[in-house]
Amino acid sequence: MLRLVGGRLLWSVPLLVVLSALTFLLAWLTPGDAARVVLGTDTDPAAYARVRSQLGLDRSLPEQYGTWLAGAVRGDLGRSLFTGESVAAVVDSRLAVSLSLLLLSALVIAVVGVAVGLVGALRGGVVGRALDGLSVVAMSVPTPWLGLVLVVVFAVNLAWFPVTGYVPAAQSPGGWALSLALPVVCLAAGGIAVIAKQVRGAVVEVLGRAYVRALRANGLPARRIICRHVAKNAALPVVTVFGVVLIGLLGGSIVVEQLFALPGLGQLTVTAAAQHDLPVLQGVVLCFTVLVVVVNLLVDLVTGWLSPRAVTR
Amino acid sequence: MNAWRAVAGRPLGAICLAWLGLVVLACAGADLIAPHHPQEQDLSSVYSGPTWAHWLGTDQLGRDILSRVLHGGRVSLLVVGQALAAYLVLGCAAGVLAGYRRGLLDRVVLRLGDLALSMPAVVILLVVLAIFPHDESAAMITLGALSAAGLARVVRASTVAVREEPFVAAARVAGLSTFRILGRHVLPSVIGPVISLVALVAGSALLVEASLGFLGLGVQPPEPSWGGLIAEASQAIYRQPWLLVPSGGVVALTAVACAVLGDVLRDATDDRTSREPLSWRRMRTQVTRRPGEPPDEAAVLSVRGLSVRLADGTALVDDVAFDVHPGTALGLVGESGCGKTMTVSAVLRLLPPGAVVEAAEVRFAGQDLLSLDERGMSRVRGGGIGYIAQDPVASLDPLFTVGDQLTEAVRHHNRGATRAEVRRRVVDLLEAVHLPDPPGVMAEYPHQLSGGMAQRVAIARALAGEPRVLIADEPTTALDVTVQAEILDLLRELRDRTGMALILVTHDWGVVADTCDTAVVMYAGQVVEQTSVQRVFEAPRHPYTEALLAADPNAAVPGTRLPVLPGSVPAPGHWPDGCRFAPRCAFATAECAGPVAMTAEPMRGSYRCVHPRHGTTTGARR
Amino acid sequence: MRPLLDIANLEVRYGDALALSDVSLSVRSGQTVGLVGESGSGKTTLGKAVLGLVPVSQGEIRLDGKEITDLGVKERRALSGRIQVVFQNPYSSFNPRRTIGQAVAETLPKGTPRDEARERVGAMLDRVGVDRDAAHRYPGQFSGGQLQRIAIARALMPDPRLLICDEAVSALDLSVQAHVLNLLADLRAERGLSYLFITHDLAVVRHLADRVVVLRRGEVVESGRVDDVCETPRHPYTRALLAAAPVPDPVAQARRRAERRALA
Repeated sequence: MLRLVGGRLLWSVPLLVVLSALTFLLAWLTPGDAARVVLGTDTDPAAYARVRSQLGLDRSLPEQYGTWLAGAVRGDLGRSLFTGESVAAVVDSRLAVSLSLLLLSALVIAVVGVAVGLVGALRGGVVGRALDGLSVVAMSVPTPWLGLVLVVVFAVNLAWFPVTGYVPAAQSPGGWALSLALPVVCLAAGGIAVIAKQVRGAVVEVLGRAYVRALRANGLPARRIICRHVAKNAALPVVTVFGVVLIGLLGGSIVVEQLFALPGLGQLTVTAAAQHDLPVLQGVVLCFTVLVVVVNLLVDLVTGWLSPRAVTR
Repeated sequence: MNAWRAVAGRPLGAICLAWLGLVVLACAGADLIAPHHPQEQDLSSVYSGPTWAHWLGTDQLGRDILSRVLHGGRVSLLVVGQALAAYLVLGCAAGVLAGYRRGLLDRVVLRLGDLALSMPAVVILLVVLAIFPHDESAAMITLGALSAAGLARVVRASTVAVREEPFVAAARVAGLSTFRILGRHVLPSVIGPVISLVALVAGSALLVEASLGFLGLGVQPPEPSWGGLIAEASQAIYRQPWLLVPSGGVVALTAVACAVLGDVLRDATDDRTSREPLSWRRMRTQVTRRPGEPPDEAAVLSVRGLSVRLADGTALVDDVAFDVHPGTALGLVGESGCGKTMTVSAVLRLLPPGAVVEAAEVRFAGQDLLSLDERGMSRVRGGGIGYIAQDPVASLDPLFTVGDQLTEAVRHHNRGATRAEVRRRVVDLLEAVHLPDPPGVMAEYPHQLSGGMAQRVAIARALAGEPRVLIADEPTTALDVTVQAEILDLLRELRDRTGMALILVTHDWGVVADTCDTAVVMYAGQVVEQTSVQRVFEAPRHPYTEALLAADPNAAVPGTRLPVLPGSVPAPGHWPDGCRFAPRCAFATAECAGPVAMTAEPMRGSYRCVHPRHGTTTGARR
Repeated sequence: MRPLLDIANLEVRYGDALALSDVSLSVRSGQTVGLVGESGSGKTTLGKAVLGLVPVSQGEIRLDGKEITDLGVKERRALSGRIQVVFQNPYSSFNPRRTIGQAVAETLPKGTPRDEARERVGAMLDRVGVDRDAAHRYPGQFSGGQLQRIAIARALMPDPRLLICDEAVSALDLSVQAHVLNLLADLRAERGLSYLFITHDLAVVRHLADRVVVLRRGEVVESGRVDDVCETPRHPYTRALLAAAPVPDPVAQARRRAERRALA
């Protein structure tokens, strides 16, 4: 188990390095650099050269990357080209919002997705087909559009929830929950469908196995067979897909934060991408990558705990 | 090509294909079809709902939404196509190469795939778009390349599986080159899952494109794109919510069509005949009672008039009757497809989903099993009637140790036993099936056991409820002969020691001779002969029994031709009227065309034949 | 007389595991050699080694005196006309997406005219007792017994000298197995074929083979004329194997059981 975790951690180092290096390389390949972005239409060559050297752009690519990496290890991610704020500080201030949204959505996906999938697998028939259809629709609806529909129905017409904005939990726990309700539903819908489908498929697959028949032949009650044997066997593939869904949530959160005006990392990413603010973008990518590494690690831990083969080897 | 026909043949698949074709054609021909230019403004009718002039309404500048949807689709579908091209090319190439060549290349591809799959795709797309502003092609090709890792995995797995198939080995022996084997045998079997995945990825690529457009990172306005239209609609949610319908609707419908098509394709290429997916509820076997003969009260298990039918009415087992007496072993003999396994599964109500039982009597130890519900049956299973299956390793849950599984069974059948008592009983059971080192075996997982050991564990588990009847369905077919001999010894010993009755399903006359007291021979879903084991070998009454015995090379003179029957066992649904064996029988006459009932001979047994063999009194013809 | 197939001191490794060690056997022209062993004995590996499907680490395999141990792809292809194979599972021996005709014609040399190919496939299907129309149908439409006949037809197309039967009748029902065994015996008589008959079933070997080789854990424990080995086995493992197989006669079987228990 320890080796498994160690291996995954070791494997995450190249992931972090490759992603950040790729960002650098792509930035270097593009015509026009950060100095032009800062200066805008001001084309005085002297000013351009000065800004270039201020930003360190006159040095070689590996040198620039080395400097950034050395800073990143110390927790210094550079400064925004536009506001001049420390990237680390900006990322830090927005992390709580994004984590609230992501963790709540993950929880909703896990609970609702598993419940819906189980009902489909155990009941089957009309109920199963209806849930199947609903899943396909939920998976195929564009996230921004779903968000807009939710806003029109529940915020504008029914006025049950605020249209946009974020209330910190410290300020008002009730307000925090209300402000996150629609964003969480919007972000979780697709994931619920994916997990429900996966759970149903995995459970049905296990139900067809010879050992389930053998357990029934041995007289074990249905609840025990399902809760103990079917659940554990079906969990393996579901956990892997859950990891993929969680990583997908990062992308979805960008859209949802933008839509509901939540001041999180996603919104920061969109602004930085639109403004060509590479230091900020790199900081956010680093932060997202760390989240991905954590998710993958958790998936590996759960998988290892579930499957005996990984332990005995 | 078969896949296409299968998809077009299913209404849902045909509808999705039609919608996708319509959308692609309409968008491609937007210049010709669209009623207006996408940029043409009409400030006199802004934010109009659907009208005759503007079927899908107009936006804040009075531009025609239908025209903008069609022109926008051209952009959106094009970049989705680019993503799919990157996905297909990279995924198939990497997957086939890795799967067929294996070795270092395989490991590199797998590793790179892991890396690509563990990256947040949309975040990377934002980086790409920050560097190549508004270049959706670059973003979507990146998306395709990142997703290709998933396709590569599937293609690789299929390739590896096909590579191990005997038909590929046969092709290699036939002298086909690697290239031709790939083209002829590997690619065609991979194509089904590939198309299905492409359809699913097309849907999700469309959604990503919509998100990018919504974020304003895609094509620059006023140029329309589907994502951009959603963004424009979002500006007007107070004034004209209708705008949400066409903009999101076309994306959602197209994505739904892709997803459904993917599912339909997967089902079509999966060769699964059953359309109704499995569910726990469907796994319960339904039973109905019909009038018939009374049971034998002396028997521990007495069955009368037992039939099994599939949902479509095809009979698998027809009017089977037999009795098992305490401490005896009954052999249920026959070739595959004759209904042996279905018969014992019907007694336990563990039939495949959809099959139903009809019977006059199933009486176990004085208890009427037909009147029990599922809950009542589960009390009989294990505790009254035990069961062991053909494949011992598969019948154990791979994720639990032997100790866990036996403890669970013992605890279930001995409510209120203490922890120590349960453990002692588990060790006793393992000793009873002659497994050396019970504590060591208890810590093992099923995959660590040999076939013989696993079958002993399965028998131990079946004994946990101290059943009065043990049904063993081909318990030694998957095992080596030396192990088979040991398992048969064990079953015989357990029967002698506990007085439990044994039902042994087998196709092996040697096993019958070794372990059984009575033999029930089945052919085409019916019992054709039932008699003692001595008599079945010495003087079989039914011509089929006689022929099946003669076909055993054990009984033949080496080097001579084996006596054979013409034709083959008819499949369920194709059983002839009258005597089902008549078309293959050397003794058949016109009388055999009518219904043939079982003929009972006192103290000897019974048979289902008009012209029985080896008779002393009736119609023996040599 | 020079043997058709001559295997000397063969060794095959899977990674660190020794699958076969120091195995020697020979098959003469027209002879049937039964290769008997339980799971893990290496009997299937031996067949694969002769077919060039697994790499050989030591020893040599000769066909008609010519070494065929480590052949290149081209030479192996040339050899496919002389050694052919029939596998255990008839269902997975055929690509479900190709017709029977395509499968059987696969062993024909490239560039055989269509009409000729069709005629030869038809004649071969006739010979194994399968209807000619089968050529247009797919494997899923046939029973296991029919498919095994078709597999034999496919193997016989290039008119091989040696046929390797890897558990070729083990998955078949008794009455079907009898048909296929008779067919194999007839073909041997007609064409002077040699069989390397790999199986776990001693009764089948006894019925069909001239000589028998008993394998255990990758090593030959006993070999000789089939009657000698079956009547008077010398190695304890052969004795155990013979005693373990039940015979279809309750009285004889009870006696054998008593003997086996005394042996243990």
